[in-house]
Amino acid sequence: MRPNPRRIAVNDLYTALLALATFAVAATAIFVAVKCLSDYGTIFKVVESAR
Amino acid sequence: MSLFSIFLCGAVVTYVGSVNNYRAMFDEQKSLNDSLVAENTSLQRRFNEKTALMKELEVKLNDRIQLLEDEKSKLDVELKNARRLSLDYQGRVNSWAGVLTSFEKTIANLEQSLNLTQEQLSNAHADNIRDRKELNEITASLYEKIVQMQALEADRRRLLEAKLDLEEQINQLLGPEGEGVVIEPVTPEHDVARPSSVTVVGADLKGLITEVGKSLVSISLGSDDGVKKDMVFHVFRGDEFICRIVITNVDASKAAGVLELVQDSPRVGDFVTTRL
Repeated sequence: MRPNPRRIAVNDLYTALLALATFAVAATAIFVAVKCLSDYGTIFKVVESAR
Repeated sequence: MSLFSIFLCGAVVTYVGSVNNYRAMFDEQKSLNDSLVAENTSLQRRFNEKTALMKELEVKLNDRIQLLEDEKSKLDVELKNARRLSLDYQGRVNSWAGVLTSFEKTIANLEQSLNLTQEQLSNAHADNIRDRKELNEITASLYEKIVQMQALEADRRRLLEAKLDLEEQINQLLGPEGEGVVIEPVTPEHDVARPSSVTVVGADLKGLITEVGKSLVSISLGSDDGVKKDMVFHVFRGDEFICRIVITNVDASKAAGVLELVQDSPRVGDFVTTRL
């Protein structure tokens, strides 16, 4: 069989755009996690009534 | 695809950044609820305490109202009694007013009669003074007449003695044949009124001298005691004989008389008696 040939980016603009999108997603996830942790004390648990 | 993911990340960040902190709101509401529940509990406890106090106060006030009602009933009864007594006393006052009016009329009549009596008494006193003056004058005239009578009696005795002497001389001059000659007087002898003899009643009367005048003396005995006119009383001061009183005027409660055998001047309070 013939090995897959290495794909070469057509343009670096796409690479930068992809990196920006990845950074944005990661930053958004961190922001949401920090926000949830600071406000509710947990990230995934659903807050219940104290009673 | 990358741009869309970036857009979605921006939307998520915007939403998460602007969303409310429901836990903080919950905690706030919970603390507010707890404080309200505590306040409610406190108010409920205070309400219960106030209710208990109100019930206790209500019981006390009901007792007080009952006492006041009883007292009001008693006071009503006393008021009725007081009104009845007032009416009774008012009736008595009216009756006493009538009696007082009649008494005033009676007193006015008595005062009028008293004035009349005093006037009569004044008139009687004036008459008495006038009568006493007349009596004194009559008594003085009587004494004068008595003195004249005594002088006339002495003249008569002297004339009688002279007559007897003349008859004896005539008999001596005429001798024995002239014996028994009696000279008849030219003027016939008339019967002369003579003072009656002094009467002394045997009853033992004792009294006092009440008034001493110039010629009359009053004693404390009168006709009620048995004193009569011409009675003789002997006046003593202790054991000393003072004089004798011949009663000339007698009243019911006193008598008056003239003095005889005067040894000393009589005084008011000297003892008089009919017996020695």
